Amino acid sequence: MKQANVYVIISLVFFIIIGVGFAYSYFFYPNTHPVDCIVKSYTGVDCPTCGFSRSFSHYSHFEFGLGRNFNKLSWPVFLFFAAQFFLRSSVVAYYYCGVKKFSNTFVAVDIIISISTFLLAFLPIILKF
Amino acid sequence: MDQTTQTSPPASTPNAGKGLGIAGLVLGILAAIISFIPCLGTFALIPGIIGIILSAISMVQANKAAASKGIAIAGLICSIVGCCLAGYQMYVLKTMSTKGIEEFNKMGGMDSLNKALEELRDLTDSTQTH
Repeated sequence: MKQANVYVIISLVFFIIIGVGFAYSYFFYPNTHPVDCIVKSYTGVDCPTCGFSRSFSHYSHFEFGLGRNFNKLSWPVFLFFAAQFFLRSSVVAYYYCGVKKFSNTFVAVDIIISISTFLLAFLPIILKF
Repeated sequence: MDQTTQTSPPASTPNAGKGLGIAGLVLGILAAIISFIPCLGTFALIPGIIGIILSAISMVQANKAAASKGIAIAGLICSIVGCCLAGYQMYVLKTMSTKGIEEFNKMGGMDSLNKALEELRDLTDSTQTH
C-alpha cells in the first residue's frame, strides 16, 4: 500500500511535468522558443538534439512529417514522452477511479518497460554524442 | 525527580522522511532524464544536486526513526547518476570550446581575422569603384 501511494505520487508529478513540456512545445510554435542550445551557443556546432524543440512544436500540432525534417532522432523521443504521458495519466486516472492498490509486479513491469523504452529512444542520441 | 522534565524516547514513525524521499526521487529521475539530452544536459546539475540533498536528509530522518530507506536510496542513486552525466557533458563542452579557441589561435587568431576583413573591404571597395 505504501509503495502504491509513492508510485501514484511519482506518476502524478511526471504526468504534470510531461504535460508542461507538451504545453511548452504547443505554445512556442513554430520557432519562438526562449531556451537556446548551450552546445551551439558555446561552440557554434550543432549538437545531436538541435532541432528537437521545433520538431516537438510541429508534432504537438500533428504535423509529423514536417517535424521529422528538423531532427530525425526526435521521433522516438517524442513517442517515448507521449507513451509516458499516457501511462502516467492512466495510473492517476485508475487511482482516482477507485483502484487504490497497484501490485508490486505491476510497478516492477512499469519500471522495466519505462527504462527500456527510455534507452531505446535515447540510445541513438547518446551514441551520436 | 520532576516528571515534567523527563523526555520519552522518540516514537517509531514509519513515514519519516517519506515526503522528502519522494521529492528527491522525482528530482533524481528528472536529472537522469535531462542529463541524457545534449542541449540541456548541463542543466541536470540543478535538480541533481537538490535531489542528492533531499534524499540525504530523507535518509538521515529514516535512519533516526528506523523507517524504510528504499525511496531515499533510489533517489540518491538517480540524482548521483544524473549529476555524473551532467558533469561529463560539462567537461566535454569545456574541452570542445577550449580546443576551438586553441585552433583559432593557431590559425592566427584575431589578427588574421582582421587582415581577412581588411582584404574583403579592399576587394568590395575596388569592385564598387569599377
